[in-house]
Amino acid sequence: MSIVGKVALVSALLITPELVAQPIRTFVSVWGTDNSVCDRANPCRTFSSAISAVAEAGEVVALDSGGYSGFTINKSVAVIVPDDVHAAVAPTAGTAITVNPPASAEVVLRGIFLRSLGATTGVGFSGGGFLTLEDVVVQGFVTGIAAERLLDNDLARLSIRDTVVRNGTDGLRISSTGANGRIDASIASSYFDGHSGNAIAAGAGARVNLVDSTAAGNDDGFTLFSSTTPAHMNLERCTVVFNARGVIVAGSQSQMRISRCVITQNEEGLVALPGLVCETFFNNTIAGNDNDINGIIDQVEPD
Amino acid sequence: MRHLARFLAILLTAGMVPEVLRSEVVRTFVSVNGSDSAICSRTSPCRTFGAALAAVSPGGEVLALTSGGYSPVTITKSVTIAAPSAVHAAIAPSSGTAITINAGATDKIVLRGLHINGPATQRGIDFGAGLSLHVERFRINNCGIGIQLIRSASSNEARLYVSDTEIQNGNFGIYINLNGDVANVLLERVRIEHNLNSAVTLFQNVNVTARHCVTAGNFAGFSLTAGTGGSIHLDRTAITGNTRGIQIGSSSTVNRNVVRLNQCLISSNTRGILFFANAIVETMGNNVIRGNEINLSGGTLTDLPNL
Repeated sequence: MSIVGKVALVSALLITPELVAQPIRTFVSVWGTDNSVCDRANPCRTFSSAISAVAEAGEVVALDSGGYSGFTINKSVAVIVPDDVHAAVAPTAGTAITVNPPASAEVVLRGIFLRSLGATTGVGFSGGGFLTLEDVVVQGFVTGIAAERLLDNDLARLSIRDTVVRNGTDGLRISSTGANGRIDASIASSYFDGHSGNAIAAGAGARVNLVDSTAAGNDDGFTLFSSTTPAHMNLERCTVVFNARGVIVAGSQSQMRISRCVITQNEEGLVALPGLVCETFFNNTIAGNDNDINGIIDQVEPD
Repeated sequence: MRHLARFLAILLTAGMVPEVLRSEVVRTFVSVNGSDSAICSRTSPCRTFGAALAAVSPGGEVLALTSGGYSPVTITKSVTIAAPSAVHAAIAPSSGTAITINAGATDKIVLRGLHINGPATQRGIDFGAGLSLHVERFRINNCGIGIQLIRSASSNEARLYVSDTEIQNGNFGIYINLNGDVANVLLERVRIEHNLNSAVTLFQNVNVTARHCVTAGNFAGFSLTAGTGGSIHLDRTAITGNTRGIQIGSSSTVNRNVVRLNQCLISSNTRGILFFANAIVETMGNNVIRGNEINLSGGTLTDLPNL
């Protein structure tokens, strides 16, 4: 090969796209145009393009207020909407944000506003790994956050903080129905209200811990049901008000624990079918409901 | 024209059609630099909330882009009106009401991040008609009534959710009278301070849960003295420095109004709890009712079971 040929070959290898490192941070803007770079000076218009352009475990930052299209996440990434930006995704069909990363991925959604104009699901979490929602608003979906999985031998984690889910059919639906499936959810300082179904419906394989959170004005508040694989729900310092049924535990594999909660002004405060584990710790207010307790609770001395 | 239609169809599929080009306008914008002769889009915002509301579809959003003063507005449909936290969008009318809500019986309204300031003759928010109202991150200052929910009896339910909001320096903080209809009210992290009258004034059949709230420096913190069937549940709430911390009574011995206390602080009031006729105040046994000139006036507490 001639020297010119060798130089050409080396040059071609150097500019092969696969060898160009992806940026650790990309940007979107209502004034942007989708491109392969999505940098601060040339932001993209869609989250999809910015997610494609960013490196694994990078950040996608919304620069200004306005409407954005729905998108799918299939790798580790943080999608960030700063406090002074109102970035809204308001789809007419399907799912606003689909999260389907591999088992070890970490995905963060912060500050985004999701509203249904006919779409069925706000956030659909169908993959593995860890999904964190912070300061997110999810409004008007059939299922606000869908984390119902069919995977087996797989542990996924959902972390929700300072998030509002309202005015839909179900706020959060969570389960992992494989024989050894399991999905953990840690929910803090969040608010589920105005649903015609459940604020939270937890099923087989779900381990849900709620702290300082509220279910208000739903048909059913916090619901736990599993007759196949173990499912747990722990309520700590939660408020359950104005629901038809505040807290429901049913199914032979369900375990519910309620501590320092207020369950009041519901039609039925706590529904606990006999034979299940439903523990309280001498520190709850369950009063002022049309029917405070329908069923049987185990009162346990706190440690 | 065919090419334009095809182009728009492509954009619509990609979700890239600006909000105001869709047949349904999902989002409109206002700015102090806007004009009501504009189309209320991101690039051509309107000046007033009224114009932006008229342009947005039911269930849509109206977003304030810039800091400054905006005119009062009347809401007649489901909508979200929001100002991001770095935007100071203020409504300060010299008379009348800042935000009037006269929506349909099933309409749901969400208000986020606005500031209301006015002389004592005004109402900040008048929730006259509609199913539910969320008020979040509001600052309401110097209003005759900060948030008002007064209706004639109509068999329609009303729901009011207020969070991360301050109501200060006015006459009444929150005033609710549905003349017999049921209202469910949830207050979370709400501070109601230095109002000449009551922080929260309720009448019959109103159910209020207040969690992590503060009522301080008012004539009364919580007031429920008329009718029957009402309830106030206070959880981790501080009631301090009022002339009357809580005043409670009922017009009948049947279905009496009730107050329930859990982990509350009632202190530095002239009277901590003032019992009128047929009052019930229940306690979880974990409150601090101390340091008032009179801690319990005209009644005693009833124990609630710890479950």
